[in-house]
Amino acid sequence: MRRLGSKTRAIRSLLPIFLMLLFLFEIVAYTTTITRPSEKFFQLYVLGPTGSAGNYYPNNSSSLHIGENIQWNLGLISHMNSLQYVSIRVKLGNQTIDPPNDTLAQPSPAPLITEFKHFIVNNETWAVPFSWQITNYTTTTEGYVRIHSLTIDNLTYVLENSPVCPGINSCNFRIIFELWTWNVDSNNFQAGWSTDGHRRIAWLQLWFTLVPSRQHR
Amino acid sequence: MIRVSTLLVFSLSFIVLLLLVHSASVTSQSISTEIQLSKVIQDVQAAELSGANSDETRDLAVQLNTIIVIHDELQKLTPVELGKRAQLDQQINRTLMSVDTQANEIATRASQRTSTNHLFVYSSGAVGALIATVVYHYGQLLRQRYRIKRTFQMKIIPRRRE
Repeated sequence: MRRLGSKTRAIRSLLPIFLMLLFLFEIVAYTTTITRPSEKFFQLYVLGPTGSAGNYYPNNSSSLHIGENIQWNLGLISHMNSLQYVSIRVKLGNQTIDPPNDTLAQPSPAPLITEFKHFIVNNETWAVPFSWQITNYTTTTEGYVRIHSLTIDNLTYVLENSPVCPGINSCNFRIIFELWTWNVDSNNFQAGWSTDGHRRIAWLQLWFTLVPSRQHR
Repeated sequence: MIRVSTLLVFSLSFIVLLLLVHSASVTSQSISTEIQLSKVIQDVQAAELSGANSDETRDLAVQLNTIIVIHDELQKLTPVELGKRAQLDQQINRTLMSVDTQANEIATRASQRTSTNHLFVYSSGAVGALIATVVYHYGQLLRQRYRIKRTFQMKIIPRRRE
C-alpha cells in the first residue's frame, strides 16, 4: 500500500474543518443578503403653525370666527418598503356623524371637502401646509347651523351636503383627515392600506366650534 | 323642403350623440390611464424588489408627482378647451410611459447588481473559510513546534525525598 504524502494527509485532515467553516461563513453570508420582513405602516400627523403638537388654533381657542385663518402642517411618513400613491382626504364632520371605523377599516361618511395626492417612497416624509378658514355659514329659522363654504390654501370650496348642527352653542364641528392609498388591483383609491392580509387605516380629527357673528345671529 | 321642427330634432340628436361619444371617450381614456398608472406603480415596486436603491426610486416618484400637477391643471380646464386638454392628456401618457420604461430598465440593472452582490458575498464566505482553514493549519503547526520545543527544553529533576 502506498503511503500518503504529508501534504495530502494535511489536506485530508483539514477538509472537514474547511467544510465546517464554509458552512458557518455561508450562513453569515445568507443572513446578510436576505431581506427581513418588517411591518408596513404609515404615520399620519398634524402639527400647529410652529411645527409643534400644540397651538392649533389662534389664541388657543377652538371657537372660530368667519374669516379667521388657521394654519396647520400635515405630515405623512411611509414605512411601506415600496412606492405608494397616497391621498389625504379632508372631510367636514359634526358631533353625530360617524368617524372612521378602525375595527372595520372603513372611512367616515362625512362629506369630502378636498384631497391631496402624492407619490411617496419608503422612509419619505411628505409635508403638506394646510391653511384654512370658514368663509360662510348660515343659521336656519329652526336654529340649525350649516357651514356653506371653506377656503383651503386660497381655494374656496362650496359644501353642498355639509352636516348641520342643532344650534351654534351646542355643536362641535371637526375636520377629519383620512389616509387613502391606491389599490393596483381595483385601479382606485381605498381607505387605509393592506399589510399581512389585514386592512389598516390612519386618520386624525380636530374639533372646533363657531363663534356667532353679528350677521348670523 | 325641410321643416324647421325636423331640422331642430336632427340638430338636437346630433348634439346629444356628440356629447355621448365625447363622454364615452373621456371615460374610457380615464379608465385606461388608471390601468396604466397601476401598471407603472407595479413596475416601480418590482424594481424596488429587484434591489433598486432609494435615489433611483425617488427620481421616478418625482416624475410621477408631475402627473398629479398636470392632472390638477386638467381639472381646472373648461370643457371647451379641448386642444389644451388633449395636450395635457398626451403629456400624462408620455410621462407614464417614460417612467414605466425607466422602471423596467432600473429593475434589470438592479437585478444584475443584486446578483453580483450576492455572488460577491457568497464568494467572500468561501474565501473567508479558506483563509480561516489556512490560519488554523499554521496555528496547529506552530502549536506542535512549540510543544516539541518545550519537550526538548524540559529538564528531569529528581524529586527530593522529604
